Amino acid sequence: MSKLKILPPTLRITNHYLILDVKSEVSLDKDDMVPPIWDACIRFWGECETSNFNLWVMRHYLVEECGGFMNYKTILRCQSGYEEKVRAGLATLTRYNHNKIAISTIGIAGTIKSAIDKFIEVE
Amino acid sequence: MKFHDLNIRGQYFGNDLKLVKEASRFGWDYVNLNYYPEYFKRALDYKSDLIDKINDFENPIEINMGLNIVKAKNPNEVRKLVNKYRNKTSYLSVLGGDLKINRGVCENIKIDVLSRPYYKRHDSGMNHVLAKEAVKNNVAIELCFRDILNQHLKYRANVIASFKEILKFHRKFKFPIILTTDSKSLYDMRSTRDIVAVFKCIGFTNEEIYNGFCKYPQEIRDFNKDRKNMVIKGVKVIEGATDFTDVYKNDEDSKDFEDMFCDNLEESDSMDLSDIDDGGLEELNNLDDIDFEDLKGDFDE
Repeated sequence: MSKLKILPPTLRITNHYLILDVKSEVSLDKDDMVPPIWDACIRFWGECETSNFNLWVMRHYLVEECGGFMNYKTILRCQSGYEEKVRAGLATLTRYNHNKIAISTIGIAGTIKSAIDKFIEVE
Repeated sequence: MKFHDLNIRGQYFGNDLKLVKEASRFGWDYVNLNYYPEYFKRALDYKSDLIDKINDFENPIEINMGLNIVKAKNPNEVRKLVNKYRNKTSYLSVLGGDLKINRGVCENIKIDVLSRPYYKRHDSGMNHVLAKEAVKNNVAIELCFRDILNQHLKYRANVIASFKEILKFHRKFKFPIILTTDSKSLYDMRSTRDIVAVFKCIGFTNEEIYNGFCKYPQEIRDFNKDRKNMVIKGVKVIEGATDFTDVYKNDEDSKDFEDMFCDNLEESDSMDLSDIDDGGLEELNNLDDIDFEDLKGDFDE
């Protein structure tokens, strides 16, 4: 299958990266993070608005496992200008597949590198 | 901006410590742990230990303990409980939901907060009458983020609709609104910016969010510091004032007061007493005319 030619920079969508603090009862890998994030945004904003968000899970790290829950840090890509809407949508998530989950946005970065430097490597 | 969360559900020492720690990590500056009346005394016992532990945190935050009345069945019961607990706590809130209780709370100046007037209702539980009463008695209306968090689909939409309706009344009548998380566990805790983002999406302006998280909670705290000195509405005991003149801030004011007072005295001294109508005193000069026994009988009566 032939690939599309890469868009010139002026036509590309600009992205920002949200750093998420995730608490979960069960262990989650990177692929497991995708459905709850999409579910939260679509529930709160609907399909039409969520289509603008351009969500993609970039990185996923386990920070600690204590007190009956796992704490993860995730870097989520979203279109610039929609950060507040995405963080509002994610904040309203409490359960997924009958398991408790809490997602809180702890920072926003312009690049993945700066996100890791500022919020992940410190820990 | 100082973020206040006036309603975090307190339970026991370990859980409270975890919640406060998480709140500190997520950027809250002041947290009020609320207890049911039966657990409040137990909570006060470990308050100092909790504060000691909190002071060891990386970002120590202020905490306080308040009381949440939830089991009252009617306004009369609310009134009795409020009279019982008012002097024991600096924060008193009553769970709403029942229309009579909502009204009773809005009319009671001793209550700080009417919590969730929309609780288990299809409407907001507020109207223009309650809004006016809330303004008059300075009762704040509390909107909890956890109600949005724990509801889904139709029910969540209903809660958001209630928030919008209460916000509409707030814009017209200007009663205080406070925004809280009502967190019970770590899974309910969110960062301050997340909560702000959600309330912004609902339709709150920046100023309303600032008032809800900072201004009105601060006002409630300040008001309650002075509450014990307030005899009735508009009358306050000023502690440490031994003499009336002590309340004046500077000497000039007290001098003015003394000058005014002395002038009045001089005026009264210089008055010509002959001008005063004696009201028939001359007639009483002859004491023989008075019937003392009759007078004594009148006094006894």
